[in-house]
Amino acid sequence: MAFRINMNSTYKYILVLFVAISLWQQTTAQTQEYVIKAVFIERFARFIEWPITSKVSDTEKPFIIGVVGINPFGSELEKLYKNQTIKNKSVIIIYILDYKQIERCDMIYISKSEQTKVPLILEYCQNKPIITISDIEKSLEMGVHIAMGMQQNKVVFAINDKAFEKSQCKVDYRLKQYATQLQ
Amino acid sequence: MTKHIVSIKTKLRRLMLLLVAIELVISLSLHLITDIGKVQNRLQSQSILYAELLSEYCIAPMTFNDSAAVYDIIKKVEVIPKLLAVAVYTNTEELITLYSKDSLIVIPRKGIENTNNSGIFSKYFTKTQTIVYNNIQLGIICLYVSKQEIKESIINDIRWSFFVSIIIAIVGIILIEIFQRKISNPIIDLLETIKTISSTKNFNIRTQSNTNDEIGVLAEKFNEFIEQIQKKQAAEIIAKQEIENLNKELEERVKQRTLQLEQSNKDLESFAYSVSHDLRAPIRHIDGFTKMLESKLPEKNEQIQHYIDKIHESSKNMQNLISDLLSYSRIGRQELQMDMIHIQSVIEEIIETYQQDTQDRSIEWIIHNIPKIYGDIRLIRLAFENLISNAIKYTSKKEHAIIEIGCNITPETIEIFIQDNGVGFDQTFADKLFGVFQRLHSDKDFQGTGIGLANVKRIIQRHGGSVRAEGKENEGATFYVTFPKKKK
Repeated sequence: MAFRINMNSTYKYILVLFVAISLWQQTTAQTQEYVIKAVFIERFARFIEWPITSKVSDTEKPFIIGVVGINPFGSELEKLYKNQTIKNKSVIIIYILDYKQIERCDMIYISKSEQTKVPLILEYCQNKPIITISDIEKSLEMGVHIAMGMQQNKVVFAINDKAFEKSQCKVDYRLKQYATQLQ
Repeated sequence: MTKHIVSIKTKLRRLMLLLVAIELVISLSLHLITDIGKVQNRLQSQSILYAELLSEYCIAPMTFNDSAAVYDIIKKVEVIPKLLAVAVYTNTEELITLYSKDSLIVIPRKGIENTNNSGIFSKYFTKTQTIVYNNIQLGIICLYVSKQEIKESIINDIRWSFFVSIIIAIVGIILIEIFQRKISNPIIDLLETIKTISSTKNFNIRTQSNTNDEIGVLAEKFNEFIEQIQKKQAAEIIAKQEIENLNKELEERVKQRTLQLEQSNKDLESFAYSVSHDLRAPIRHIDGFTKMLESKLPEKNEQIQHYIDKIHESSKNMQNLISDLLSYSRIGRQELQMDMIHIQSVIEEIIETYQQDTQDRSIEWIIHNIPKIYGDIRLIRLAFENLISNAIKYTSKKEHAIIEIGCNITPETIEIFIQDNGVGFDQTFADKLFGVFQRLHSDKDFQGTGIGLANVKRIIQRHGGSVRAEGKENEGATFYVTFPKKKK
């Protein structure tokens, strides 16, 4: 019996270990994905032009990236933008709990946790020079500017031209060329 | 040594072929240089364009560090034949990705190959281009551009130039033939005309070259020149004929005159001979009958005797004159019997004959050695008798007469002189001495017929010689007789 008990315990441990490893792998993969996505946010900014009237043109103000919903980046964004500039401006990361704060941002990332609230969030951004980025499925159809996703273990993105037109921001054709059509 | 002649035709042909060859070489060289330059420039500008385009396309993938996307972009150059390979490097020149159509090209993984200034015949050259976006250098792209196009261009140029060369050479040869005919044919025609005139001496021939250039002018002037020669030649022929006619006429006239003169001389000599001969008998009769009349005179009457003496003297003079005239006449008609004469002996014999007549006179004879002469001894003796008798006669009034006979010898002649210290004569009248009946002294002073020296001149002239006299009144005279030496 004891053996059985032991055997059961062993299986449990193995199962726990397996689950733990799987979780660790998943977490690691996810972390890696979001590191890339964090980098992508800055790279997108390189190809985007905000209207002259926007505060991005004001060199004295920092460039503000807002994370709406649960932060999937961990501390990657802070690490990344500690010494990194966007449009020659220092970068501040803010984590938005109150959607009203969205207006402060030049760029926002809508986390997967906000999947049901995307239209609401986008309303806050409507007709404002705020670039919305999300990796929520079908977010592009919902109206975000740039939607990111994974294809064959590779981070890919798609661009919503209409959203850009509405926000008066211009996206470089090179980025459009490189962007993929998300499935 | 025969002079090697190269015709103008050949020279022109050579010159023109040389010009065509030079033109072809120059045009081919220029064409090649220009074309190589153009192709190189075109390749350069195309490679710049390709590099810029590729770098442009690579901006976004490079921004997102997407080497697979970069490869997808550079792989598109597979449709561009002149791009052999493309490599994309990081800013630190580490290879990100590459695409190569030519496995022989070795693409370094670290460091970019720079063969931008490689030679014409190398396989490729490289063109590097930085991938820059918003002043941020994202990487470096390196293109390997084939130089096959330059080689093909050179081959095409050579083919084309060869083809054009053949056409130009053919056209050139045809043009050369046409032009050289236009240039050389008139010259050849002119030359042939000159040769014909030179060989045939026919100045009626004219060259037919009538081109409107320098050769045409030359031909025209040549024809004019030949015409002038022809006219001059015609004039010379006419003049020559006139001279020949005049000469013939003159010769004829001289011949006629000579004949007339000879006939007149013969007639005169014949007349003189007849008259002299016929006069001798009456004179002899007058003298004879006067002697008979003198002997028949009954008594001596001084006046009658004086008249008779005058008749005798006149008769004697007349006889001497007739005798001399007969001699003169004979000298002209007598055939010469030529031989070598010991003239010195002849002279001494003549002097000897006069010794008796001059024994009461003081005469000093100086006789030098005289060589033999060639002549007729009868006539030579007669001549020297006259000269020596003259010397004796014209020194008769000198108390002491000196008569010198000698000779001067030259390579061609022997000149014998007879010099005396007699009465001499006025040199002005020296020429008259040798004329018939010409006398410089009166008969009263010195008797004579005036035929002696004329006889001397005639004899010496018949021997081919000459006579002359030098004299001074009351100082003497010298007579020179010159004989030609006998030719051996």
